[in-house]
Amino acid sequence: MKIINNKLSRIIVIIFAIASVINTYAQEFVQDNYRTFYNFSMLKQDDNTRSLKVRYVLQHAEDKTVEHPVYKAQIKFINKLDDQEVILAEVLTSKNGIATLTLPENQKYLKDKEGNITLIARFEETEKLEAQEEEIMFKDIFLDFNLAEIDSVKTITLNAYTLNNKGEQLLVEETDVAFYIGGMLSKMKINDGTLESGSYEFEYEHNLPGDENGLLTFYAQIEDHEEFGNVTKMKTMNWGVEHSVPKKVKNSLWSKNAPGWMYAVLAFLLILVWANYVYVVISLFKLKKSIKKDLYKGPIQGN
Amino acid sequence: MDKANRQRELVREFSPTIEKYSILLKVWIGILIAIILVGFYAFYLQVTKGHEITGMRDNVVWGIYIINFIFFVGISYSGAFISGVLHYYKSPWKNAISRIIEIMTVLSLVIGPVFILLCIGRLDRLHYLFLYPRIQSPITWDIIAIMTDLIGCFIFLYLTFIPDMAVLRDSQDLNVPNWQKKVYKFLAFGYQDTPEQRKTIHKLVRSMSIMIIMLALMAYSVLAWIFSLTIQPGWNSTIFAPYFIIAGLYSGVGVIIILMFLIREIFNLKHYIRKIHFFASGIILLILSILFGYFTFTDYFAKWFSHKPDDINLLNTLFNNYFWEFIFANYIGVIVPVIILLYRKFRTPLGVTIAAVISVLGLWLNRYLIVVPTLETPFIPIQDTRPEFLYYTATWVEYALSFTGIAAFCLFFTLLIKFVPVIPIQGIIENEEEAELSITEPNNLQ
Repeated sequence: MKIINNKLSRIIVIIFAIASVINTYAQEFVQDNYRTFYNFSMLKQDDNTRSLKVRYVLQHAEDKTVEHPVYKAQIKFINKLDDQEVILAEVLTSKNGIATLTLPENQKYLKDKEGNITLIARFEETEKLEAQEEEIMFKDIFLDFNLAEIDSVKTITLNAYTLNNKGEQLLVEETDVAFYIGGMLSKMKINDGTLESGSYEFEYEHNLPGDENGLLTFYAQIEDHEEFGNVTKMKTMNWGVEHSVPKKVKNSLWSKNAPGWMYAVLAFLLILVWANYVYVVISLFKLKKSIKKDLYKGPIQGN
Repeated sequence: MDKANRQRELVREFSPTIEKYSILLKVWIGILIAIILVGFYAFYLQVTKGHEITGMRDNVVWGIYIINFIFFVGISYSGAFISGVLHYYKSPWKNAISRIIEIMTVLSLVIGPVFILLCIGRLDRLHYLFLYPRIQSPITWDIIAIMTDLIGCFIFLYLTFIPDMAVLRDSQDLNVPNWQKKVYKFLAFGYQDTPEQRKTIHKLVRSMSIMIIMLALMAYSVLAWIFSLTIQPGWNSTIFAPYFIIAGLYSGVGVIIILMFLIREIFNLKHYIRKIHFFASGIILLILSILFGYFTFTDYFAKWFSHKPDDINLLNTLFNNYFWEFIFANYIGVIVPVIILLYRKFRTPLGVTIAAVISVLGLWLNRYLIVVPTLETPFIPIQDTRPEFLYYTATWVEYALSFTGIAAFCLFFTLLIKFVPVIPIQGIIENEEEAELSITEPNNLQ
């Protein structure tokens, strides 16, 4: 009996050992197949507030369409200068793996001598996930976006400047800007160019329809700039060309009742065909009635 | 000519096809019933488990059922058209093939619409079609057209049956059960083949033949419009209605030739269904195959040349996923029959029948390519779904029910030609009388 028990316990130990090895292998296998996608971005918005955004997902190494967002990950947004760190806020990621923070226009930042601001988005290590950190360094930029009709020419002007430590304006040079018009689903690019002596100007020549009041929304954007990051400015102007609202097409085929001509044609065709059927059937009965009994010669005799 | 004697001779000649059930015939009927029983089991499974057991899904909502429907209905309309033309113009060789065509017409029009019922997921709501019909919908037009055509074809078939029913009723030599004799008497409708009655029947047949020619054209056009009035790439085509009519005629003539060949060989009717019939029908098949090839080319050429993205997607699907099917349906199914039929020496009964078989198979596949790849290439592709939901593969249930349709067609055809002579007896007598009259009174011909 002892021998049996010993054998049994050995078998159980071996099974557990194999199972734990398989389990460990499976876990490693899963981790190996996924890579971390941790992205930190910043956008200075039209009202001079700043939107900070972190997207934290685990992406399948082979099939990039397979993503697992990291939910409820605590992201610390920090303003850093040398060794000094100021925590701006701590935000948990959403079900989509996104943490966002909007900083107000009057937010005070730590800046270096050249006016550079450094922001960090940090995720601290947990039992299951490694620590993540991304840093953005940018200079504050101010955009002055104007739309005006000068000598009957619709002119769009963008002026850009930064402020030095004394609060003096410094014109921005050699910076690419792009201009868009807002649409229902996305923006349409209408122009792009480079700021020179802090300014860029062009004529608006498009004949685009606006909303029902002829209003168009214009956007001036600096995109992924190494010094200023993402900055956008927006303005609405009554430059949409007049467009007649298309008349509501009344498709009678989709209405509750069919158009009269359809009933007429169908009725005519059906009456034509069915009248013929009725005529044939009546003729057959007449044929039967017309048979005189004395004409009937009886069945054909065999042989 | 003594009409009564000639009738007796002809009844005696055709009585073996009506009276006797050989072992081979019984086996044949048994096989057909077995196939139909398997089909009933498949139908039971489909009703109880739903369309889940078919290959039809959200993306491809129509499969081989609708293809069979188009195919059978096409054969029927083609038969109605050809039969109408033969009767209206009193074609000299109508007598040899008219009954085959008429039976084929009615049977395929009965079986075809059953397939459309199999496509319906909620058969319990079928009556809504009649309770709440939308006259604007081509599907409603099709229901009206099919029902009207079916009744018209039944009347037409019955009118052509009446003289032979009278002959069979009056034949005491015929050794058939009493119930069958009673049925002959009932269906003969008191017909005595007096000159006046004969004239009336001919008049009625001619008027009905005009009706069913019109109905065939209208009904098959409506069927084509079910597809072409949608904006689906591949279906939205202005030539679909004439294309369907030509395709229907092509398949119909093919099936008629196959039936002619089988009946000629099985019942040894070589002196009635002669080589000239195959020769002539071979030329008709040749013309139709060229026309069908032309329409197919025009349809695809316009799609390719216009280069609209959705049409190009469809052509890519056809040439990538359905390459061999496309080649068989639109190249082999057209070019091979044309090659066979172009040469006079191949226009033998066997040669023409081989061409007909290839054309019928090619045409069924052509219908498949019109339905399935088109549905697999919609305007807005379904995303993030299972691959088996995107593409269509018919299941055994669908194949079983498809073969059941074919088996039912064959079974009813077999039973009907066991009930009435496959060559109209009265037609033979009338032909002989007319020939006799033309000899004795040659001026009648002028």
